[in-house]
Amino acid sequence: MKKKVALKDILLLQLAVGIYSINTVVGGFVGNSLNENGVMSVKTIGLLFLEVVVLGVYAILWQQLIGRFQLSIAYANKAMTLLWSLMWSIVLFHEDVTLYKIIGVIMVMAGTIILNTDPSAAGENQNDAAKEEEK
Amino acid sequence: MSFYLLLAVIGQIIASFSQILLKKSSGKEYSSFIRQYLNALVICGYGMLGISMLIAVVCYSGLEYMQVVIIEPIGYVIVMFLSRFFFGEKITARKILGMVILLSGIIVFYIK
Repeated sequence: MKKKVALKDILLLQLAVGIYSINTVVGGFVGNSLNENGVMSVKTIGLLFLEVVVLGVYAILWQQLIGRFQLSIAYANKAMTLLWSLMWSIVLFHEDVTLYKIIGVIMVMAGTIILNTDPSAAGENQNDAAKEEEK
Repeated sequence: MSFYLLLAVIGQIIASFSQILLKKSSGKEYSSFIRQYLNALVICGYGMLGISMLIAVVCYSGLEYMQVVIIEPIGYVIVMFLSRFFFGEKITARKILGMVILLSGIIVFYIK
């Protein structure tokens, strides 16, 4: 039994993914501040607090969404985080992008999607069946 | 650098366990909206996610931003094995193929 996935839900999922990638960016800034200012600096703690806030917003959205989707669909969408992050790494962290890195990112995304979209696995239905058995 | 890499993987193991707890919680019926968030599974789940976040921050201080982010999908591989154990989800040939491509991608990324 396949549930139809509404466009609104997919957009919400991508919004959650976008927020998650921002969370990693803030994490990156916390790491940099940790190097420059140490743990007990206003900047480090402030950024860490911001990261928790962003993670909290993401968490509430994600918790609502993973109940609505098969975990596989949720994770396949989450693979998009890497593309967002690749962009942030260039724009915000001025990191070098090599051909190896781009191929690596594409392979990881492909692997993530292949791993998480197994039609024969149909995780949710098996879970339901397992739960029924437990009862 | 390898210390931070190892740390990043440990962070992912913790994060993967948190995902299993959250998934267990989302499959349950709760009496109210608030109960959906304030229950032992969700609180432990997000507690572990918080710990993995702190670990990630330490990793960011020792590695490039993208070098940390690219490690995160290892979590999918760990979740695959944990799902087999906790939910009885089968590990199929396709999942193994995905795992191999994913892990190879991380290695390719680290070549430079």
